[in-house]
Amino acid sequence: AVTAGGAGGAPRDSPEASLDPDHLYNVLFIGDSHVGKTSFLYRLHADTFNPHLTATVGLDYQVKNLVVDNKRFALRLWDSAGQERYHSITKQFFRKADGVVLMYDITSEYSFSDVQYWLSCIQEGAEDGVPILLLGNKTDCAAERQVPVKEGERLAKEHQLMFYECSAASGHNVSESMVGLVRLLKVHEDKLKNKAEEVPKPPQKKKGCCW
Amino acid sequence: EYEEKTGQAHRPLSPKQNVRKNLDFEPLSTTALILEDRPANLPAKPAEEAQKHRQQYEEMVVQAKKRELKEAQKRKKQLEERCKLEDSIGNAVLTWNNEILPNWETMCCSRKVRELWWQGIPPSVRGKVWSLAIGNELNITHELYDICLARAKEKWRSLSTGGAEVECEDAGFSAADREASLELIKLDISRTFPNLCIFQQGGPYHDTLHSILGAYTCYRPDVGYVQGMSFIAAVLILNLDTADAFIAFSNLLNKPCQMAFFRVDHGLMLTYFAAFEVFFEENLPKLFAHFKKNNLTPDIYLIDWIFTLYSKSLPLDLACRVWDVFCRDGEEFLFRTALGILKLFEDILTKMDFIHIAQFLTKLPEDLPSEEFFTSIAAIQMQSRNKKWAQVKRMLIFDNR
Repeated sequence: AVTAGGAGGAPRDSPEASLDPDHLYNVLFIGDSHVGKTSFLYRLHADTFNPHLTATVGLDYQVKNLVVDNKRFALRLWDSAGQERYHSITKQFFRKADGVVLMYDITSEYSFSDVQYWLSCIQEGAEDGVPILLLGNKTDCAAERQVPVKEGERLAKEHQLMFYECSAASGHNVSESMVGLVRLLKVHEDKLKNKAEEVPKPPQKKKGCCW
Repeated sequence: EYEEKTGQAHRPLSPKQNVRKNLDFEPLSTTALILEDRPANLPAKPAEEAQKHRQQYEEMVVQAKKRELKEAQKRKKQLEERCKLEDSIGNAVLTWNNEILPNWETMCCSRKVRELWWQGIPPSVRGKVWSLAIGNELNITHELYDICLARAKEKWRSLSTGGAEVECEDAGFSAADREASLELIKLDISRTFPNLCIFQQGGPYHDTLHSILGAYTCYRPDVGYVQGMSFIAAVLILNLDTADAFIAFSNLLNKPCQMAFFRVDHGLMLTYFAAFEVFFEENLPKLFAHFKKNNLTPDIYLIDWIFTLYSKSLPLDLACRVWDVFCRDGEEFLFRTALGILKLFEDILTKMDFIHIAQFLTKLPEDLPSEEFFTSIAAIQMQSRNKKWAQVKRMLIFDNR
């Protein structure tokens, strides 16, 4: 069960959650400029929409504490600048990411077609099999929609991504998608741990003689 | 006396009246209670106690009066200080206009001017001083600005009509990137100082900002538009006429530090960060060690500060004062400012972990105290083992080769 922020409600920071989390994950937010990465993070943090946000230059940082399934999670959220020129800066942070949120704007076909490009960046820079959440933002602008839900779903299925559509403006699916991502990150972490326990030494040895 | 007192108590209202007669100002109701006699159904206060209470009460009144006097003096002092400040700004305007600006070449480096400069340039002459200090190495004329702007407008037209014939003289970047960057300018303009409400669609400076950024992408297609530029252009627009703002903008971005960052030249950026760290360690060794321990590299906070010249992260009036001295001292002042910020918040930062430091430094408190802030910057020594900023940077560049 989701303790904080069940269906619909935004997960609030409870003091217990911030003290000594059970799990800590670095999550990198990427996607084209102006798709709403910073607005999403603002909504997550303050539970309101701020229409007066400035363009991100370089990287921004935010902490979010969540209690999911009775466990305390601390998320370190890395917000990146969308412009292509900054990608070389963003790429340096891929390796440190435990999870990636790849966002596009459902009212911009262009931002959706760039998802492929971003996926190749992840493949290039991040750890293999890093959990990815594909987010189609701005569901509140239904009249201007250019990317059908089906398209997002199809792409997510093809690349095995978790998928949500959301709206930073209305709050729709903001906390839900984060809770989903946290669960995914937890499963991934457990998998990695099990793997490490199953084959404790050989990979290291192998590495040793290769070097 | 006791008899008298109890006798009075029987007459309604008399104690209060009595009190009020003796005091020349109205006591607050709660303090007046002290002087009330006890209700008739309780034993009366002993005379001694009543005397003591009266004494205590009078002391309180004296204290309160003192406090009030002090407050009044403080207010007077504040007012005087404000008048003094306004006078000094007025005087500074006269000095800048009558003495310094007409003799710029000979005076700009004098000690007196440098000191006046540090105090902050009065807003009415700020633009002129910035223009002179930034210079016009590129020899850009107003005509050249018009030409670049006309070209930008042509491109926008061809983009909006869907014409694919965009001139292909632009070196280095793909047509898609250029188109995207023209599109991006439009989106970013409304995201530039959104709280001021003057650069948004329909605002008085919307078109000006659009024009300058567009003209620049035609003037320097090899650099193009990079996010962060809109803030620099906006600050210039607030202080200069359009064409002069364009000239200052282009020359400012042409400086080595700005070029390195806006072209995202990783090697050079790392050199700047390394030079910064030399002075960081020298000035704030404890905090430096704390940052190292937490793996907090300078790129995490410096990128935003350097790209926007602090205009996004500091309150606008403080940012302008940083620009003032940046125009005087050059790039090293940008890094000195960064160290000033770190020094100002050293105590808080040493208690934070990685992500909280990163979060704090990318969202500085909005009520930064300006005098403390500049005192903190002034305390930063830009000298490391007898080497100045430029020498340290040169050595690092040399090492990299």
